[in-house]
Amino acid sequence: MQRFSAFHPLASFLYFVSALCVTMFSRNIVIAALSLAGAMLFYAVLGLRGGIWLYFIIFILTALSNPLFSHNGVTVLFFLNGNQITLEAVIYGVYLGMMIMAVLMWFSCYNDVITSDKFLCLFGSVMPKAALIISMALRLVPSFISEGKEMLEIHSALLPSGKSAIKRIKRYAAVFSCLITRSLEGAAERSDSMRARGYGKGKRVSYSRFRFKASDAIMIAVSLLWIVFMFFFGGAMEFNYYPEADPLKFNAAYIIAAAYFILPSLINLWGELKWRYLASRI
Amino acid sequence: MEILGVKNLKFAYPNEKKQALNGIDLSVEEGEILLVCGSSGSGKTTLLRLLKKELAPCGELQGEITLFGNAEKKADVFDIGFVMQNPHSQIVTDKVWHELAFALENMGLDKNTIRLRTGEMASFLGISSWFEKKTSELSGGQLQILNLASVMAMQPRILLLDEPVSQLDPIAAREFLNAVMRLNREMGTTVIMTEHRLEDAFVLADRVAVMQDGMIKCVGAPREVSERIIAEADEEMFASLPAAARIFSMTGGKGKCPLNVREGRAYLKERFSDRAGAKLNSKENEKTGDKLIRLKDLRFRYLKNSEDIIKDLSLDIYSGDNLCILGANGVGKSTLLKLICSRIKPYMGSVKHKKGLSFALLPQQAEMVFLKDSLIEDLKLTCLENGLGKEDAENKIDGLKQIFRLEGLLDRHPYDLSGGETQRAALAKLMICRPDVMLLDEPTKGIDPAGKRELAALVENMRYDGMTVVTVTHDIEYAASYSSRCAMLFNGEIISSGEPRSFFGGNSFYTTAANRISRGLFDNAISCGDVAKLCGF
Repeated sequence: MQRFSAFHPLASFLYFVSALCVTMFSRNIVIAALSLAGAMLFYAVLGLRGGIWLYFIIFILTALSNPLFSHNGVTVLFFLNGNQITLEAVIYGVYLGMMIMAVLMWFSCYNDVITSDKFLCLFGSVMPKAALIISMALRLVPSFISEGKEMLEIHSALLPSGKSAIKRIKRYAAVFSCLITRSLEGAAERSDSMRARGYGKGKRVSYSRFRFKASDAIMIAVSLLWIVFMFFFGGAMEFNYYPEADPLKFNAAYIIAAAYFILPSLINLWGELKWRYLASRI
Repeated sequence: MEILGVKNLKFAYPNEKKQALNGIDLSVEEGEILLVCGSSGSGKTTLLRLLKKELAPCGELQGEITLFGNAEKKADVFDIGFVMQNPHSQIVTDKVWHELAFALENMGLDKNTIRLRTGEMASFLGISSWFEKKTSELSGGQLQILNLASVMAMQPRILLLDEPVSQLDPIAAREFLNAVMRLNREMGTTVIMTEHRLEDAFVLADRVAVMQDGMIKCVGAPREVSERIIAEADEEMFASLPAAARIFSMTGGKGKCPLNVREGRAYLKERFSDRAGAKLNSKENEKTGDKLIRLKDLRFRYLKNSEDIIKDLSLDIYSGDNLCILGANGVGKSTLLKLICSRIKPYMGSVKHKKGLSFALLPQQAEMVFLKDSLIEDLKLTCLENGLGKEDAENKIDGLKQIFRLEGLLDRHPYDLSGGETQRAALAKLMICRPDVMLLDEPTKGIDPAGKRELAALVENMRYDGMTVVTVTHDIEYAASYSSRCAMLFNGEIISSGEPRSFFGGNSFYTTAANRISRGLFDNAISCGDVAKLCGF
């Protein structure tokens, strides 16, 4: 199955970076709308669910608050408590809301696609030491939490007398300091285990399991071309909100932008279709 | 060819007069498995650590260690692999594949070589199915196999294992030892291993060295060594011998000493066939007290969408019981303990306690019950929090010190105690609350035979004081020797329970080695002592 997440981390990372940059810096309402549509589609295709309501609330809050606080613009819609509410401010509010929501949703998708291994692969070659530390932290944090839960459970059972808030806080503090002692104790053994496996001898390399394929090169080229394109032709797409909003005009660049933003969803959906077809012939 | 030689090795830790190692002479042949055994504190771990210079402890060292037949050439770090006791604390990274690659990254190998070596190692040791998992999701047994694989990926010539299976359940332990044996037989890796659970390790060792007080007492083939131990009546080591050898000695056997169940059966058949059919009656039911706890049709799960871990479980616990609940890893033993003391609630069924019943639970990692920096402070604090006055507290601690043999340990940090000591101290702390029911979660994990005997004596003591003890364990031998009632937990329910003799007499696989040796000849013999008794000794 062709999947967007199967690309080399560098390719998917570059895609997200370019999509986010264009969304944040273009200031064009059509681009923001296209980016939001692309992000929502990809969000759905990835099967993500959580947080969608929060994003809508953020969108509504931003879209409403701009006209309430900004009174620029020439087209007055009505007066509220003696303040003018203008069409331009409403449009700008909607643009801001869409932009912020799109950025948040791209980030959710990023989190799903760029797993911790991929992140480490990206930064391991640049900063091998930092990458190892991140990997160790990712191992230690879950064990620290589960150990803390267990110790709290043990100690709340041991001292049934401590019902008052101060006693409880004291106990939490004692358990926490004990956890730190335990993890330091573990660190000594872990450093033994690292030295026993030659850590600190000679130059360390950072291994990642990801292979670089021709399709990754194509994906990277597409992202780079898109950034260059936006850099040179972005000016033509400039959109003014104040004092009067520009009329919406068709621009060929919008088609390219739309194609770019739905590219990951298309790749996944195409993979799905191909899989169904192949599966039907097995 | 000699791959490792030790000549008159002496070692003392700084600020300690006693020599930890006192003149060790040892020669290890290439490709053999050497088992180093001995009681705790005999210097096994010190010796093993001195052989790997990156882990060598600080102290005064005399004597000579020769590696690869050349005293001058220092061994490369990658030529000697070392696996330690605790499976959890050796893991460095968050993903299985990354852990496998860790040593290879340190070697600075290129990407394709690392890919090949991790792949090879994973398929050799059966890691492939969890290759992409997070290390925090693995069981202790899997983690230890991963530690072994990650060390073996360096392709060391010598593998040092420091009590590698003491923290594992019997099935995981056997799997680990099988993996070691395959590495030895198929790759020719030389293995030096310390262990005190000898039942399984004896079978795979080519030679055994017995250590005592920093010296090597004897070295030889497993059979020779067992015969020596029997001849010298070394009590400490005798308890760790395989059941077949113990029965052999207790029945005054002569000649070739049997080491496994098959040989043990042959020995008994040959010598005692005239006594076939002898049986022990199951112990007349000890005075069963009144019903303290009644569990009825419990169902429990941790998450709404997970599977039931306890399914329609019913169990009665009587006052004065020493109940052992047996079962493999992950069948819900620890969960059951928490249900018994109502720390968690079932979503179906009921838990009924006799009025005013108090509980104490000893967790699997016993050191978790301590919060203070020294044992005495911790005990004092617990006394005060339980409403004892200053003087009462001191008397109480004095009393506990006697019973739990804590002399000399009170000023130590709880994390500096050995496995058995930690357990005794933790039990002492729990006793301050004077619970009616003591719940023990896997108390024999990492404890040597002497420690187990001591634990059993303490449990007896508690019962004498009127307490009820419930233990969950996978240690069949412990349950058979010391419990008053056994129950087997499988797939979330209690599938059988009874007094140990009838309980184990009725099982054919899930039973003690002594029972498997005497099955068909004698009835209901579950310990070596039972067998010896039926043989007329």
